[in-house]
Amino acid sequence: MGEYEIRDPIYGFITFDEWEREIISHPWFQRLRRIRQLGLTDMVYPGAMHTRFEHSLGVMHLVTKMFDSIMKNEENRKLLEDYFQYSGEDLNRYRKIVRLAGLLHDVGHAPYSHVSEQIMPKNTNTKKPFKHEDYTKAIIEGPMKRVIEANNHTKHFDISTKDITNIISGNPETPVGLLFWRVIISSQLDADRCDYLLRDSHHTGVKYGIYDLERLLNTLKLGVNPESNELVLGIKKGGWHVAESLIIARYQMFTQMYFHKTRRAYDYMIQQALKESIGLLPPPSLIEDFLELDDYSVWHCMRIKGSEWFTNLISRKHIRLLYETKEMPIESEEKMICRLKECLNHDNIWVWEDSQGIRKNWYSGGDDKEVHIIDKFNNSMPLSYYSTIVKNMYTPFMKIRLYVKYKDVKNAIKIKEGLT
Amino acid sequence: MNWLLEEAEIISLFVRKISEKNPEHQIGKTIIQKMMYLFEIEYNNKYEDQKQYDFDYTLYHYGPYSFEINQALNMAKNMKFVSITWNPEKGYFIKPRTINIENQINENMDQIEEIVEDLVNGYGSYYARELSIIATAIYVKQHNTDIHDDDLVEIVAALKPKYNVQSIRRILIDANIINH
Repeated sequence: MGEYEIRDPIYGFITFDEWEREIISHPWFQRLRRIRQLGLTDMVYPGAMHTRFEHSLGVMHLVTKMFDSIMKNEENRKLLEDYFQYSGEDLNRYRKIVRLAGLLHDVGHAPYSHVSEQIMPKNTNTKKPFKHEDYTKAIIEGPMKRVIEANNHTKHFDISTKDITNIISGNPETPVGLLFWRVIISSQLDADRCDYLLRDSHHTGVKYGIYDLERLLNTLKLGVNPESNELVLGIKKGGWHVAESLIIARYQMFTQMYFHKTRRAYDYMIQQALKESIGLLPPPSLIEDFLELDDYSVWHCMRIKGSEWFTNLISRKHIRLLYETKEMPIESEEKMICRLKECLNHDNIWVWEDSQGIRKNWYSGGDDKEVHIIDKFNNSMPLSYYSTIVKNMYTPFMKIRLYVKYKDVKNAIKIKEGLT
Repeated sequence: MNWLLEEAEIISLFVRKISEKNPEHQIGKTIIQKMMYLFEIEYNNKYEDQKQYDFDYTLYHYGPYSFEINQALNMAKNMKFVSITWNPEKGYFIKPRTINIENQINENMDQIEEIVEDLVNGYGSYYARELSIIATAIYVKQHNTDIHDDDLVEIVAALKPKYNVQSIRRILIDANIINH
């Protein structure tokens, strides 16, 4: 099987085989070259022009490194054999499925990544909005099925598209020995976040997201949760500082970049411009229509529509931050928010309160304190019991912000000053 | 009001009710995760035409799990609704701190209390490991509503290889998930 390599700014080189090369070359995977990783973050950090394409390659690479690192440790292997009765054949197959799941996990992203999740339609069965994972499943099992399954190597590993989507979505019919590996695809310690922290830092030029990846890989360890008796993925006791630095990196990236006040303003504006130009996205059942949409095509739609939101967006007349609370608002700040909103409404000044969406935002998901530290007896203990810094980090983040339109800034500031 | 606070209030209600029913019972993070999963299903079924909860549960080898609920639990701790400690041999212990939350956060508290009460009566005495089996079975049923009892036991047993089929069957019968 031929081996190919591609230069990557984070890992040096990423290698892949002929089969993976065909998948990567498929037009619907290539579409990820036209989906920016961080939406319009380049309006604040001009270097943030990287795409889901390179992130996906990075996750495939990193998830493989994590898999191999876990398996090279004898104690980890014993635990896995004890829990899931692994055979060598299973492992080769699982490794390949995990690798493909890492490669394809974001193939269903909509234009401008998470920004457009707000315009995903509702699933009539669940009555909940679709998620990008639903689109990912529809693409892998639909238009990409042929390139994944019609390959000799597929027959060799006996891997179907269902194997890949089952581990991405957590289907209960997945063999538990395979389902276990979901922890390195989507959890507090997964390849996704380990990649995006380093990649986003690199491209934006900020240094907050950097941590010692090699040390992290070398200290991955399995243990047993005493409450549930289930296997948990954690970090060896001796390496808990690297877990701490990962958590701090994530916190700083969140507060300094992902939740940057101007970045949030652009998120909101492009959401409004998208709503006005394309309305709701097609559901996963119309996947071919969905796949026609990428950053380029919806930009064109927004330009043709020429809404006020889009016009202001391209002339950098973005909505401006008028007032914000602390990360955990105090009572007087909450009162100020209410009074300000009342006064602005009274004067017919448009205002956007950025608070309700926080819970559902991808970057606030998870509880980092839950990363486990594993001792030599395979006992697990939360990181917050080792690290005073992590213990005292105040999560979740509940900052509330009020924004006004560019044209109203002066009047809004006067109103605010009248209240303080 | 922030959604996380609402969820934190529901969690603290669970902690309080379970502690009242059985003061010695260990309430750890697994219990909270699984109880909130059952809550989401019960509430959404019972009040179909009202607010629908979406805690974003997905399946791991340890059963259905929601990162959001973990965040909400963190919030409950930060707001001093509950206390969380760790015992190296047994894991987390979550205990009630505030008897009554001063300003009720959820508007639909009566409905919430009713569901929580029912769930605590039905499942409040189970240990984390049993509740994990029950929640996994319900997760499987949610994704395959026509599944037969024997098939359900088989799938759960495959997902929980540390437990034998008989003990899984016994737990599911006891919890009224299957008939025989």
